[in-house]
Amino acid sequence: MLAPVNIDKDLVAAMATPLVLAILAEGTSYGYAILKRVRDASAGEVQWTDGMLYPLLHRLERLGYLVTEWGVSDEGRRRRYYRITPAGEAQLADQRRQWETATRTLGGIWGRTLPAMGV
Amino acid sequence: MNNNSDADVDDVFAADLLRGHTDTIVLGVLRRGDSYGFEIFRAIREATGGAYEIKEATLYASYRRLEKDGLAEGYWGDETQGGRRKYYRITDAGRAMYRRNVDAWVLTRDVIDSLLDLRKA
Amino acid sequence: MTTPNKRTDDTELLHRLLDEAFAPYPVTSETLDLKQEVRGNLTARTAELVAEGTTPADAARRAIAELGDVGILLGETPTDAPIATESWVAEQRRNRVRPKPAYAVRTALLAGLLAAVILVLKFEVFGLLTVAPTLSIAAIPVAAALVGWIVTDALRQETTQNYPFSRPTAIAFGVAAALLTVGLGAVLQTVLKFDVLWILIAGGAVVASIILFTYLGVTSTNRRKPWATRLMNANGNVPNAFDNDQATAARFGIYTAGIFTLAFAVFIVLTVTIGWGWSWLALVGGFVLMLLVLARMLFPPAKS
Repeated sequence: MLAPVNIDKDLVAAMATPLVLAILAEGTSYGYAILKRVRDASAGEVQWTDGMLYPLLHRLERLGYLVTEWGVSDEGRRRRYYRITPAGEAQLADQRRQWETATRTLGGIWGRTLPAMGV
Repeated sequence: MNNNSDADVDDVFAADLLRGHTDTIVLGVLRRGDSYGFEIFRAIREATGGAYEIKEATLYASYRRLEKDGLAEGYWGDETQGGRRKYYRITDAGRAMYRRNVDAWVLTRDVIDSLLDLRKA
Repeated sequence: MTTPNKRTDDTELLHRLLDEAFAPYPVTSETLDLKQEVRGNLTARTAELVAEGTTPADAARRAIAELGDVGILLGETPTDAPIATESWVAEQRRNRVRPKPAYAVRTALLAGLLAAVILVLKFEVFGLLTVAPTLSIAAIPVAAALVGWIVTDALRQETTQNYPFSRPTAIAFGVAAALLTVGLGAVLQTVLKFDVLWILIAGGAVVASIILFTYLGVTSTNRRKPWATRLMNANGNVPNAFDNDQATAARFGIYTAGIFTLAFAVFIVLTVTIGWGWSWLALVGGFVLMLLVLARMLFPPAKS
């Protein structure tokens, strides 16, 4: 029996853009919530930092994939929210497609395809 | 597996995603039996349904890394014509690493799929 | 040269293009090896293209083009790049794998049992205990099975530095160790009550064990984890001949089998002629000889 398997953090980092866009596509959100979503989905394995997320959000904003707007948190404090744009949705759709292609290819090579989808 | 016509050279992102796993892909080929460079290249090409032809430079770098880390051993064949071929054989460490990498990939894929909302987890 | 051998001309084209591609770069044993490896692969690639209908000349050019920049090929491994500066201790801590509790308990129990069996046999040999002959003989396979199990179990565990052996390999090692135990047990029986049969069994079991160990030693592949391999290479561990050349390791195994077969034969002859007092020297001599051969083969003196 080998030691427990770890998440491939490099792969998650390579997928940072589509992951952030996908989270925003679910609904306008703010920095901490995005970090928490990723941490929860990976059962605590992937803990992105502010230092990693905010430069990415700035870059995506420059590219026109999202816009920022100011709002108010539950505690009544000013908070910066991020909303995905149509250009962002298009980019997300394209990268999703490429991810699925790559995943299907690797799954085929390694004999680990997804059961229900028959890919 | 159908040949996805979407997969062409414009899919830089997908190509990048695949390139990161070259070592594990090569180990997967070697698991089935010792092979030399061109055979490995062809096996990968067939396994991807012809969608991706991996660059030779990427493969040679991969062989070197695998040898350096003790995951594969290289040895010279004894062909008499057309030049000797360098074969590679997977080691026990290579087998273990392959299993570990594939398991890690499956786990990571599932996490990313759920975040990308591709499957309702 | 007016030989109109088109096939040779086209093979020559590939070799010429390959030479041109590698020409700008310094020649080292590493680059020569890579060139030969590339040559073998390109030959196969051009053959494939030709089989698909490409002209040999075009095939050669296309194959070379697919190779890309040779500089990139050569520069891929930064062998002079600073290698892991992390110390062995730090890496060890980072990659630590703890032994499984179940394994620890199992091994402790088995080892305890084995120790008990050995103690009983020891007392018997020194006359402190009388054991029924059948029981004494039955102890041998029991001890052998325990030894085999302990060895196999141990090799199946993942450690901080090594991956486990595969199940068949681990079992084979266990069998070899068990055979060795049978051999030692047989020697013990002969000490209790001289019987040529036991000596033959001992000799057969030990030689078989050595042969199996040799085979396993030669065919087993690396199972050290990459982090350990990298650190060992970086710290310049002393390379020995067995690491570099499996033929040497195989030869050593065969020499050992030969040495011990001879030692046992001499042991038997001496026992029958001179008696117990001195015959055991043959076995000691065999062991010493084996060590000398091992040292000589493992670290051969530099050729002048």
